[in-house]
Amino acid sequence: LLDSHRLYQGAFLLPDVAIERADVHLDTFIHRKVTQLTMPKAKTATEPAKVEVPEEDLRKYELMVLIDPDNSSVEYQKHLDEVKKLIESHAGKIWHEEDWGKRELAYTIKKKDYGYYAIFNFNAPGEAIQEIGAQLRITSYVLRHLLVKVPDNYEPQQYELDEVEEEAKPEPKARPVRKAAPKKAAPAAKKAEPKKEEKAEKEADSSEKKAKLDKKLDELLSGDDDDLNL
Amino acid sequence: MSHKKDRKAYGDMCVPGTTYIDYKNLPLLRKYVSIHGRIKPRYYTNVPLVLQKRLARGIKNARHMALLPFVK
Repeated sequence: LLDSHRLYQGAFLLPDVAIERADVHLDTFIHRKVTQLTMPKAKTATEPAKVEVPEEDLRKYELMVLIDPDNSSVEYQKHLDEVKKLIESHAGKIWHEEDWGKRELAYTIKKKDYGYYAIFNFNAPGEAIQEIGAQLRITSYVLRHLLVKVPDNYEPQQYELDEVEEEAKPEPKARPVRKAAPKKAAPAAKKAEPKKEEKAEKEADSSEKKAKLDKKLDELLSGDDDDLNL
Repeated sequence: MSHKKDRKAYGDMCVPGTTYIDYKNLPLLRKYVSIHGRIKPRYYTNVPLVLQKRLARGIKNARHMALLPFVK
């Protein structure tokens, strides 16, 4: 039995502690060995996932949260902090935040027509995303959330939201009529006055210019003649 | 919409430097949604297939977040 133990030990390069216990019964020995080998492995699997994650394993994600409007703005800030903490507790690193504030929803959700929108851009390991999503699904104040993977060179963009567009759409039809009349009349009057003055000035200028031009021409002509003669 | 003619404009649909169509780009997404809120098919939009699929994804994401309506 001992020989077989030692062969076994040699093959697997067991630590000295294990060699000292070689006289223990084979079954118990193997049982201890197995526990020794498996326990540290389990620890290494769980610990670094929360503390240290190499940057290569991180990916860019974007989280949009739609928060219940019934709460006051103070509570809303608390909720945002909670969402932030949730991301950071799962080894996520937030690098951009956006707060759209209160917005009208395109359709009612849970009998609510308005909601607070907030966007978080963060880097996180892939395994964390499922857990974050599951947590957000449980939280009561989050009406909806959207977790998307974003390309590596993505940079947050600013867009015109539809509220601005919807207000602008009906107005242009009415605007041209209103604006056209006063605008055309007012500038026309303004333009007419300076034009007359300008014309007078221009005439004066033109007479002066003509004289100058004549002189110049004469000079040039004489000069040209000289040049040609040369 | 004029998007049917200028094919060069399709590159501008994506987020600059990427091939990703942002679900937050509502002015763009609204172009590719009919008055009833349905996604316009490709035989109306003439958008390349890849981009049409990304557009659809973006519109669906926006709908989920109540930025666009499912039905008007």
